Amino acid sequence: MLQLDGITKTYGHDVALSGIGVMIEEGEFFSIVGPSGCGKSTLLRIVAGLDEPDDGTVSIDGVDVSGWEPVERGIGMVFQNYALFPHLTAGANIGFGLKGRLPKEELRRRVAEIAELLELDAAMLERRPRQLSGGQRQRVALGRALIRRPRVLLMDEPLSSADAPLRERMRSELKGFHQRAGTTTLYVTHDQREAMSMSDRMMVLDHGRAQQVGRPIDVYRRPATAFAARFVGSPGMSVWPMPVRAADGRHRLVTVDGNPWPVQVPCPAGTEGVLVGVRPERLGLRPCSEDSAVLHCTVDTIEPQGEQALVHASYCGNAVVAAVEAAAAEQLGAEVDLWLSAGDLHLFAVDSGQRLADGRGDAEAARAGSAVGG
Amino acid sequence: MTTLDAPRPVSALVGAEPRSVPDRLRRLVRPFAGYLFVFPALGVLVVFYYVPALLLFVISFFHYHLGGAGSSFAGLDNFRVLFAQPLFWKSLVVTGYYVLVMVPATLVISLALAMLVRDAARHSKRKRGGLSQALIFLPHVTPLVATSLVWVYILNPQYGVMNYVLRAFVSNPPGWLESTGYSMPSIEIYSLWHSVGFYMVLFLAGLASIPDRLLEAARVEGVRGFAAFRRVVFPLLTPSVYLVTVLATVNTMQAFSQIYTLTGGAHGEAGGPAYSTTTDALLIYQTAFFYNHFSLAATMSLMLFVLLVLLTVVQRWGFSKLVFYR
Amino acid sequence: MSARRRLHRYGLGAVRAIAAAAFSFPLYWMLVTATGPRGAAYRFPPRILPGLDFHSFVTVIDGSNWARYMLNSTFITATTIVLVLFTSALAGWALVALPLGLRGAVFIVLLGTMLLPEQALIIPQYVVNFHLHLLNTYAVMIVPFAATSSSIFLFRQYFATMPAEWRDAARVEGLGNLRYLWRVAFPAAKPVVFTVILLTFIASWNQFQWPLIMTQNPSIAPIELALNQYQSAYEASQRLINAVSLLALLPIVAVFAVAQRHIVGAVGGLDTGVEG
Repeated sequence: MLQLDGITKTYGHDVALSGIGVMIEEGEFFSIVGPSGCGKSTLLRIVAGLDEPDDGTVSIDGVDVSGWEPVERGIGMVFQNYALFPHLTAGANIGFGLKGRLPKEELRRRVAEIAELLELDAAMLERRPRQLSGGQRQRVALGRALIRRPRVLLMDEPLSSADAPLRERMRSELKGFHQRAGTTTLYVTHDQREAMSMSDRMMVLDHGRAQQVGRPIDVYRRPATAFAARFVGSPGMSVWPMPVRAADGRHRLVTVDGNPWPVQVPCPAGTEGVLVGVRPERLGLRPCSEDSAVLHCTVDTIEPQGEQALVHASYCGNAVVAAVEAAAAEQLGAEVDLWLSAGDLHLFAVDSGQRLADGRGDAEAARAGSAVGG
Repeated sequence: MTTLDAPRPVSALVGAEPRSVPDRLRRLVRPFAGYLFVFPALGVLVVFYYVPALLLFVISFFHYHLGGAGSSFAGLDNFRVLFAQPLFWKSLVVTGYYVLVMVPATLVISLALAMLVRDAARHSKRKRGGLSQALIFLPHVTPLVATSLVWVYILNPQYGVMNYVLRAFVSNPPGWLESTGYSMPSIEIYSLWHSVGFYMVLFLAGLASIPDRLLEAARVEGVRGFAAFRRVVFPLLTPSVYLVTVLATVNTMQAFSQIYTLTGGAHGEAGGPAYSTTTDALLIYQTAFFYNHFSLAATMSLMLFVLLVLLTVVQRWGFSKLVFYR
Repeated sequence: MSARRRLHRYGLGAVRAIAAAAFSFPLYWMLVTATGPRGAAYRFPPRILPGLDFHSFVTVIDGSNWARYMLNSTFITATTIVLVLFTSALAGWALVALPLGLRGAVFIVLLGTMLLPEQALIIPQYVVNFHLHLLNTYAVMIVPFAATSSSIFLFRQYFATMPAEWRDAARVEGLGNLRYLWRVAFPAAKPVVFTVILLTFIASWNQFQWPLIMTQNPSIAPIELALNQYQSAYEASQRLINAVSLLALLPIVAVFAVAQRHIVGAVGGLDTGVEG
């Protein structure tokens, strides 16, 4: 229902967005996630019609809306910090866009209807934004965006101004609301946890390029690029370069000191190295399968997190994070051997960062492959 | 789902509004939107301020008669005539006397009042000086004519309250506005009464920007009282001193209404007695509207303009050594 | 508290009270004179307390065109305020948020009149008004003051602090620049609006030299100019002169009493910025 096609935007020499294309389905909750400066807000503003792309089209319900004013596109938008008007009551904020376009009675009915949907009581509607809590402000901002019954709801980091506990609650509130209302939603955030927990599908964006589009769980399990691998997960994947040695037409990983690893690499001839990634939860203090490999690391810091502890370590100068049992972490000295199973390795090309060889890398496939190779 | 470009009735308002203005028209108008918004203000300021400013130069070099008929280029004639007028030089002396008394008096009195009011504000619970500050400031917003009239009464040599009080101390109190020697001091008393409240507020703003920490630090070093004022407060207050000096100079150089009213403008006697209060502004007014000599009045205005610019430059230069900006 | 410090403190308080009394005296004296009995203004010793005789006010209000002059002043002041708000808000907004070629030059021109000395301009301004056929009209007392550099500057500064997201949010709701200005930016700039209203009110109500020069027709005279005529007409009665002066002063004093803090701040340039 919302289709982006080849969206490109540059500011001077800086490429903000490069050929973004995606099709978002009716009723979907779709997130765009990436670090600050990746172009996600620009993309949202282009969808809204607040900015114009240099190239590419935005279509809603199959109609190209390029060059249309925001209000003509049938969108609603929730802004970062909400952008509520401080001189108007909550009710007037919600009814802002329709004031003067609907009869007074009708407008009041619409506001009341939205307020009920968002569980804002009548007393709250009389207050000004300054007198409302963060959560109530979010609901007013949502109300203002929804009163037009938009076909697409756009949200630009709506939770970024809330503190951590409030953020948790508002996240579930938003999710619950989306399930009730079913409005197609495009949600921009820098917080991958938000994207993971709320979205039907998500797009990982970096330097104006779409790294991956997919269901959160798929992105987590099979990151399409080294960036997506590092970015998604808490904490993200550890990724480091490793040399590759070719023998009998096959490529195998070797450690820096020349020990071969039991992992065969599907890469073109002449490749000298690849990027290797592994999730912190998959790194252990003991070997866990017969095709295990070991990383000799120095310990940098240990970050207890309750049940578990994150061990931040260095492997040949590369940062590696492992999530291990807190009790075991306490015993660690300056050095540690971190074990991993070949099947948990994700491989990416050094130059492009692209995932190597489709079909490999998720646990089962890798295990099968390494068994053959080992 | 309906398609977006189908026209829909406003009452439905499901989602989008119909496209109203064609793209091409929008693109055409948008870059000029700013000028449409600026136009009313710009028009007023250009017509009533910038055009007259230019006109000032033109008229000064013409024999100009109102309406323009019979006008001719005059070269420097107007300046020659003006410089040959004793009254012109007299008015500069009168204005200079007025400015030279007003500016230092304004500085001293308004700064003293600011210190007084601020100290009071600091001791009381309320900030901002409260009632006394308001009462000292109030004269500044009063209309010049309305309050000049009561001063004419207060300063009346025969039945005014000023001389009633003075008679208790001196046998022969001054004739104030009716004597050539005291007419200018009378105007100065009124003008100070009317304006020092304003300059006091400027000083208060300057004082408020001096952190209490600095005074506390000075006190720890044993520097207090007037020494603290001279060595800590005043140096930090020099930007305000500069501001007040410039504003007081510019304002007194251009004083008109109170002089007009106090010296009996309503009876056609403004500037008296014996031209003792005929300042530049008054002389410009009389030259143009009593003697209908617009060229000469414009030439005087131009001189005033130039004089003000020069004074501002000189003051800026003089203060550049003194003023300490943090 | 030591005796010395107490003395210091109360001494200061006393000096302050004397200063405040001295500055208030002329206004008080107007009241005393205007409400005293007929002829008391010329008798010694002078009355020190205000009387309860309000006949002088009745004489002024009934016996002259006082109401007309007040109406003139009110009309001129109110119209000027509305126009100043209109032109300054528009220009301030354009300077902040609209496409404007040569923005820097426009900015300088809009604010530059603050540097022009008014006494030096009044002769050529008279000439301009003459050619525009504005002499002896209400318009001559309104239109030239319908835009001021200071008001434009105040609006510009305030608008510049408003979040850009407000504009986006309003655009998503389909508001053009004008409607955004009217419904969001202007009402949200309340502190500046008040400041501009107060400054314009004081400046406009207190106009004297301008109408003195630009008008001759008594029926359009504002009260301040009319005082000039009262000064001759009531030459023989200080009581009546002070009564009519007091009446002319009253609106200013009343507004000052209500908005004292804001006026001191506005005139002194103290809180012209964001006030939350």
